[in-house]
Amino acid sequence: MTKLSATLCSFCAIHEGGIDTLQGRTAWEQGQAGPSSISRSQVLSTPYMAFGKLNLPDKLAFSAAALTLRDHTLIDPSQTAIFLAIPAGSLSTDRAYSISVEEGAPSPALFSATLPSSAVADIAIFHHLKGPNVVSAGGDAPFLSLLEYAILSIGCGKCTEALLLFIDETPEHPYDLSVKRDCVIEDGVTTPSPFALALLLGRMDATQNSMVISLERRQTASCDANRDSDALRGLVRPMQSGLSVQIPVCDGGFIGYISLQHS
Amino acid sequence: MEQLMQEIKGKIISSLKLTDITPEEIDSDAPLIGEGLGLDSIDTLELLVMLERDYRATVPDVNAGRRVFSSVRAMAKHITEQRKNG
Repeated sequence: MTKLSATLCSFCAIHEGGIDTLQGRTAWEQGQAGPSSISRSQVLSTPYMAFGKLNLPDKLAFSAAALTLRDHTLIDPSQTAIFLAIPAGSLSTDRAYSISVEEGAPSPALFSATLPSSAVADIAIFHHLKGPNVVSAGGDAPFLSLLEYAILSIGCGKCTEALLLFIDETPEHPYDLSVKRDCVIEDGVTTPSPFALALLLGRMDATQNSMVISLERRQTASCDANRDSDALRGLVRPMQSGLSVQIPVCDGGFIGYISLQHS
Repeated sequence: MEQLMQEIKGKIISSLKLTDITPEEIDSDAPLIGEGLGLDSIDTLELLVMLERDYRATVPDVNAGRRVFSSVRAMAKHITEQRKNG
């Protein structure tokens, strides 16, 4: 059994309801169509020519990174890692590129963005992040594995901090970000990811500016609590009261517990 | 020539999705790559595709590319020359 922990210092969630950060929620402006219409001025206070050129998944990742880092000063950018989970990979960009090929004018810019890791490059260059980076594309989103890997990387000195990004963008549900899932916790409609829950809990207590996340790995045969949105919803109230909570999870090959505790 | 340059500026903005600027803000004689508009090599390829698609204008080699993509005026001049020759 291994137990790992790290502190969640800042976050950003871009979803249909608006943009959530440590500073609270910013609703979409009138006429904006949600995450796909996010503008440079909502993310950066200075001009950045490349923003408009980013494809949607990259733009969402870049925006989330910029807003997360707006509220948190990194200890050492050169020792900060990037961990990106992008379950849909570059599917939407692949499709856009295919269309440009069919139209007889293959787009070099779209082609270069057909690498699922392309968002990492923009973020690393803009924020001068020189630590290791890990990209998980396709399949079931291994949120916890990525979180575990990030905490391990900090623990063993590979980086001082890690920027975790989760882009849940699919052509069918382009705005189904992790954060939408945390909204769903309140409705109890679908299963939230533990990572999204962490974001939700961070948002719910505006007085907190950090939260300790602990992972406890256990080799058990089965685990189904993470599929039960009722169980997760029941954890919100004690968390709001400042109590520590433990959530059994089974996700992306990870079997164990995630503990959330205010620092 | 002026009209063509205005058109090219509009196409640069739409091709490269430069949402932060307007055609009026692009200097016809300013360098496009590096300084000036700050375009990179991928952007240059995108402009190359735009030239071929929208103006049937080709850029034969790297040296010609450096000249053609040096400014909006150079791009307009190249299109005009190719139309005359073509």
